[in-house]
Amino acid sequence: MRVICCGTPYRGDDAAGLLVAEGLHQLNIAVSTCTGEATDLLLTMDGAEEVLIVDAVISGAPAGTISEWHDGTTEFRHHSSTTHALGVAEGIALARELGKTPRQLHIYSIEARTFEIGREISPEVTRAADELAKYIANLIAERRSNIAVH
Amino acid sequence: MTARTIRVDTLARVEGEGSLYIKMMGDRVSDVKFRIYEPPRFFEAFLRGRHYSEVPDITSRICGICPIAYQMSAIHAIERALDVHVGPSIRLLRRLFYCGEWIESHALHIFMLHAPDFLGYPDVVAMAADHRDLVEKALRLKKIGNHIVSLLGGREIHPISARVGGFYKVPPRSQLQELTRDLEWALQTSLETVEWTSKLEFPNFEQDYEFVALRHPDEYPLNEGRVVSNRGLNIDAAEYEDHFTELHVKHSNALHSIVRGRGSYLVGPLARFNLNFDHLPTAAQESARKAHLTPPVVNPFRGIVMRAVELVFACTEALRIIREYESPSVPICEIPNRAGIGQAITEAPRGILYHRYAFDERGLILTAKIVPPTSQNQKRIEDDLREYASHLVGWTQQEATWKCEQAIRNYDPCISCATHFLKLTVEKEP
Repeated sequence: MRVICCGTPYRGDDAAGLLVAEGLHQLNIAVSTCTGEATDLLLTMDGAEEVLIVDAVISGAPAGTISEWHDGTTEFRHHSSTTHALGVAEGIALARELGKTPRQLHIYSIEARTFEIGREISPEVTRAADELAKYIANLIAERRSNIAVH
Repeated sequence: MTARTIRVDTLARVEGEGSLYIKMMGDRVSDVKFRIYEPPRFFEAFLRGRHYSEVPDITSRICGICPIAYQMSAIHAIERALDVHVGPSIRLLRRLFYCGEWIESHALHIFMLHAPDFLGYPDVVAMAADHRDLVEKALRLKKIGNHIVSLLGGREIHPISARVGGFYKVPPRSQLQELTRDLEWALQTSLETVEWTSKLEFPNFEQDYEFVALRHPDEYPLNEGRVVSNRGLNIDAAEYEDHFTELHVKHSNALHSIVRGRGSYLVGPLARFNLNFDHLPTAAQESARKAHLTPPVVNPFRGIVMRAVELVFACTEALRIIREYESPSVPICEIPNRAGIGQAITEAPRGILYHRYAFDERGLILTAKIVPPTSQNQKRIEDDLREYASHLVGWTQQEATWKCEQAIRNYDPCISCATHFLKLTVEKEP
């Protein structure tokens, strides 16, 4: 499974994905990072059978809420707070159009409070990133042990 | 007389956050505001006190699309201040590095951001359903550009290997040669892209522009050259601030640049093509001629074709460099320690990028000035819109809005780069 954490370090809670990546690094889990620009996301996903994407979102839920999708069909909407002309939502939509969606796509999001430039990461988001990194690391460890048993 | 307002609160398919406001009375445009509301990021201010060796890596963070441009302008400015001259291999590697960025940036803009305008789709996702081949081409070209950048820069986004005096690490010749097959495909695809883009339908809109670009005695410009224009400008980068000035306008967080005593000007592919056609490689010149394009091209909507011609250049130049490259014995030349002031301009994908640095004898930055291409094109974009909107009287509101957005996208504006004005007044009580 390829883990791709998206985010930028300068826009407040948009760094959530990068915090998760940092946590996973510390737990010795290989992870790719990506700014969230659509073409870079597509190229980072390319060739993987199973992909897990982590990104920050604003959906109206309380800051720090972790959500997950595994069906590969959910429509995501681009939000204007990214500085990229094409973001993660377009990357996923383009992958679908091009038939490049990995066989299994898991998306984990952390609800952000702000994407404002220069802002600190919210404490709720920091806590959620730590929790999510541990959760993903456990998920991967469980799979490895299942493979070892079989 | 009918009043009409065209308003786009969040411009799509541009890098960064901007909006558009046009007010018309009949066919007369009474107000145009291309508003950049992304907050300023104060890079020039927080460079102060940092060592000059940190500047390339800090300024590269200004943009995720054109970080190499920021590194190159910074490095050249500092090397000019220190009177450092790199050897031919390093010079070639820098050109190759820049070719990688041009390929990435132009491919993204041509196919993913601008093509939907010409083909009548709201965005690239909708376009991909009918034109999968175009998106596939864009992705492969982008991947090839990324490969060049990561090979020379250590990673694709915000590369880290370029430094004042050279590179921290340079690749062996054999590693560069691995790029050849991909670049040959990219060259062929770029030639096809010139042909394809030249057949798109362009609005009949021509303007009397002052084009500004670098000009080198022998080469199509990337890192070096004098600043020239079609109105007789011919200056060194050190004279830039004598001839250009920046103005703060209330509606934008980016400064407007003008040529002193004249006004707006245009930088980027159209300017480079018009001022440097004779230095394009034969394949690029021939592809342009076949598309019935020779200077002066004064329709900004044809910028998409100019980018395709520059893709041909970047691929041809990258292949030439790979053929000629010999790995230098040392990747960096000696750097003296002294105070200095240096200015440099290089050609970012969107146009000339000016950097000036002054630093003390410890190498700590005293002042920094950065003028990105989008900031330079900003006033020109408004001038285009002022003229172009008056041609759209018979169009529906939705069509007119779309056309105006397309006119902005002609410039591939990178709004994130442009936001950097800083005016601070401190009043102290007695």
